[in-house]
Amino acid sequence: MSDSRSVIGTGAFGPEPAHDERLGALMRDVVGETPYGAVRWAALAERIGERVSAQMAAPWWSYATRWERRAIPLALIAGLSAGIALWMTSASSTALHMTTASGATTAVFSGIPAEDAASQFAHSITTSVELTTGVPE
Amino acid sequence: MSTAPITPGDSSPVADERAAARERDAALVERVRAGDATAFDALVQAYMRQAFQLAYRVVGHREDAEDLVQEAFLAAYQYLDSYDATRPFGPWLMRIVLNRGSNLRRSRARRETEPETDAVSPAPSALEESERAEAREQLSRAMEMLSERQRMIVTLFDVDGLTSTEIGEMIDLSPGTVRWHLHEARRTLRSALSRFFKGDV
Repeated sequence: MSDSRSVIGTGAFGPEPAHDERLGALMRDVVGETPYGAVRWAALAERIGERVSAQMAAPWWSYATRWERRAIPLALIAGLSAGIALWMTSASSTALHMTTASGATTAVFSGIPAEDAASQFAHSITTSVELTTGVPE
Repeated sequence: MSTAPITPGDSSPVADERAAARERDAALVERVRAGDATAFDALVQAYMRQAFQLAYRVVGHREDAEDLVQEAFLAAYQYLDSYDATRPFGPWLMRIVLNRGSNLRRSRARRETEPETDAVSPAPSALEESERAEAREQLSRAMEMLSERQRMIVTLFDVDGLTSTEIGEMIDLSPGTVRWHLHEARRTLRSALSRFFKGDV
């Protein structure tokens, strides 16, 4: 009980403290000694060995079951996100093509030469792509 | 137990023994990874008692401690691929015991049983039995106030008689950190028991 009397030389910075027999005896009454004698060590080792051997012999898909609770929701979320992203990309790209293609058709029908219409068509596609990808003009 | 994973002190033979134990463990782990079950048995034999000691201090019940040791070894086997063989096997295993033990302790209502002791140790104090019972009650309450780590450290030190170095190796803390936790835990416990330890505190 001596190391509670001062701060210097105690705790982390002090030397190895002595075992407190008095406190230890009381604590032993409360928590008990580690009951090494009550353990059947050979049986325990055997149980562990059996379970490890069973684990070694387990088929490869048994490892998947360890991760299924995490992997299945993640896979669902990833699949759903990919589906939505694909659908949105496809929808916006179709809209762009329709706009630009219809613009070119209108230009040809209104008497503009085909080369000019093609040039406008190409220009409109380039502009649309730049707008979509965020490239400043 | 044929091999002692933790030995007291810091002298050169002890350091040699530790280095030898580390090499032995690394070789055993390598063999287990190659599918040799007997190598894992050797690891079990080397660390079973130490794992049980820690498990018992975490869960406070022999059967639970045995179950915990079994679960910890099985988890160690399952996650052996994530174990860094350049580091000692013992503290890695003990960390598994601690983590799983804390979960077990939280999830189960703590069983109130009489402590199972190997032998009745003579009490060095001169307290009368009634006073002693009261002191036990106070101590029990004070121990509940400690963090799990501090409770374990003070128990391993003052009840099981380990050194700060041994505890540090067991739970992967520096001896200085162990001593600090020990100091804090003792201060709390002694403060709770000040009435019974008038002459000492």
